Amino acid sequence: MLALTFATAVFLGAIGSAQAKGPKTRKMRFVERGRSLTVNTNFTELLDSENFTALSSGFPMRIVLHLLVYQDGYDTPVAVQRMRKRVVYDLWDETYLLEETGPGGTREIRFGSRVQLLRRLTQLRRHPIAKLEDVGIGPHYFLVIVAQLNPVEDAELAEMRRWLSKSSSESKLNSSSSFFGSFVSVFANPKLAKAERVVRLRSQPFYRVKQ
Amino acid sequence: MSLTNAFGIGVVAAVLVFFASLEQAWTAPKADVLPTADQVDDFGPRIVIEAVEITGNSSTDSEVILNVLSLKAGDSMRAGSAKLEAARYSVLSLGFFRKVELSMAKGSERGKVILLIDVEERGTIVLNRLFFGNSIVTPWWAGLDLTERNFLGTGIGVGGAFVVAEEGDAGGSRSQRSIEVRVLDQALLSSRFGWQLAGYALEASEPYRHGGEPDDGSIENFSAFDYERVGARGTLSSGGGALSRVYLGGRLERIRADLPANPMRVLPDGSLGPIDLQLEDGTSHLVSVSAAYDRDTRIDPVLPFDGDRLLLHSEAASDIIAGSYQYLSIRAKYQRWWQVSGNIHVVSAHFSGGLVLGGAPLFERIHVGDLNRMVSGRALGLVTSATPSLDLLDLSTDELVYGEVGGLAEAQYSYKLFRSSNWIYGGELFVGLGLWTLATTADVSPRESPPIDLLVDAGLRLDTEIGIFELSLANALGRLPL
Repeated sequence: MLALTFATAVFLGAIGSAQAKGPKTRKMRFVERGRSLTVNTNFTELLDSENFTALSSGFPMRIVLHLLVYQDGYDTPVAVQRMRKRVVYDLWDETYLLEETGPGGTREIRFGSRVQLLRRLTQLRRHPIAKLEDVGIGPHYFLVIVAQLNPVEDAELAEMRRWLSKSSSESKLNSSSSFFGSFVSVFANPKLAKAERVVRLRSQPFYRVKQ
Repeated sequence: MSLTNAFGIGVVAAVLVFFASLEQAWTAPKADVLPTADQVDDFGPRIVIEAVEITGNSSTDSEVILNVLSLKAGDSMRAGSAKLEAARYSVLSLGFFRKVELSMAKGSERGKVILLIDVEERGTIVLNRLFFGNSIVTPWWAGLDLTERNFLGTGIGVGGAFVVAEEGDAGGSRSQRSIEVRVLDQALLSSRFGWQLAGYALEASEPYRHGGEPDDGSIENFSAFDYERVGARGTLSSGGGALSRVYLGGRLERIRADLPANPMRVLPDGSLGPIDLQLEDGTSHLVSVSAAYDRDTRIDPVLPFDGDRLLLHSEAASDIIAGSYQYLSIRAKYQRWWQVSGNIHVVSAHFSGGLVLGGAPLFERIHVGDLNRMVSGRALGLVTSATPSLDLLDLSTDELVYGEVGGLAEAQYSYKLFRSSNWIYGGELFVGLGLWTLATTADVSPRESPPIDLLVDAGLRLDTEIGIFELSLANALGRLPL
């Protein structure tokens, strides 16, 4: 009975904790420019002070952004965009080299200041998120931004998790009883995160008007 | 086909499978999940690693870390190379560290860098499995299976398991003990090859029915006989790419059985029938070779939602050298998961089957608990329960204990309750419905339908920082004296 009570408490606590997680709502500015809808916003919380210091470690850092425009009430986005930013510190020149890859291609920018680099890494200015023809006049839409710091590819993550979960139990293949048996066990479970940090943001609803 | 021929064919097949896997290992390298150098080594200033310095590893030998790194002094690359990032995950994959931080410092001249690796060690003692429960023939049993994955900082795993079962009230019963010790290394010198050596010993007191109706699990219907096993096995393994692994092994074992003279069973009609206890009386030996293949494409092996897993295992034993038993055992298991309607609902299909040909000792035959989770499975080789299956379809499955042909087909549906990055990573509710069968080769007849029964299960799975917990109907039924 004690075990059942404990399990129930753990379960309810986990659900409460999980439900508390979700995209944060952030006020963003949307402007039509040419044939594109653009956004101005930031996600500075992606990098904490430790990550900020690590920008000067000489070790490469990677940010992957997913920008998804949804029409209110629909699960499928009307526009999806993926961007990658890679940054590396040149130890001898003492400059930061940023490489941005997105729908517009790849470009490299050099920064002398870490603060300037941080601004560029975590802000979107006049950034196109959708073609105007994909965002109809009238209905409400919202933008979801998922920013990941040093994400790991699914296949790579799966390989690591498999490795970690199997490396102590290779003997199971030798036992006929456990060969058939279901996976019912308790073992230390060193989980690897899919990314070092993830920020999920959701904009306020917006709509286009006829001009 | 004689069993000697079967043994020979089994050995040849095992060797062929092993070498075929080696071929696959070289043709499907690990790079299938990592970016190639051409794809990633294109960004930032060119650097040359002058030295690698490791800090924070108080118990793990630096050599263990250097072995898994794909980088070494003298390597040249661009500073934005994904090889550097991959190096961090290679070290994390060891499972010995909570945190791995990589950074660089200027080297002795322009372009040269010192690669700094700072690690924070974690506990590496792993609780693989807990054994516990009670039944009508065993008042209680308990045990555990532990592994130190990084023994003395060498990167080699040392593990052990034991189970103790209290003496029951069945005639001739005594307490039971089982112990196993093993040494394993999944990546010999960071290669694709691994090895494992294990030694084990059991003092078993196996219950057998001598009377009563098949569904009557009362203690007075059972007696027990004793046998001991002492053995060792060795396994070589090879990783075939990122997703599969092949095992080739051998086993030597001595069995000492103290069988009752002419055991008989009182059948329901009152007549007497002989009981075959499927062991040689006195001392006997088991010599076998085995091969296994494991292919796993699941993204998440703990709470799977996609991908599949295939396990094949065969073992051949012979009396050619010193063995007393000749048999060929083949087992297979295939599982597949699909996400339906978004990523909250997952359905899965699970198939497993086995065939044992020849005169295998009883502990190498398929036990009902191997297929039917609603009865107790064997605990480190010990049979701790004689509770019959529920026989939900009334097809005489309550009579089954051991067989040579068996299988299970099960469909499961699971509902993802949540995923979280906190200490409880995820949870799901599941229900499963399956059919299982078990028969002796003598009972298999095209004119008679095999005994089949339902498997019904439902419960909750939690993936937590300290382990995986499954609270399920079948799990409870297998541990309680119902």
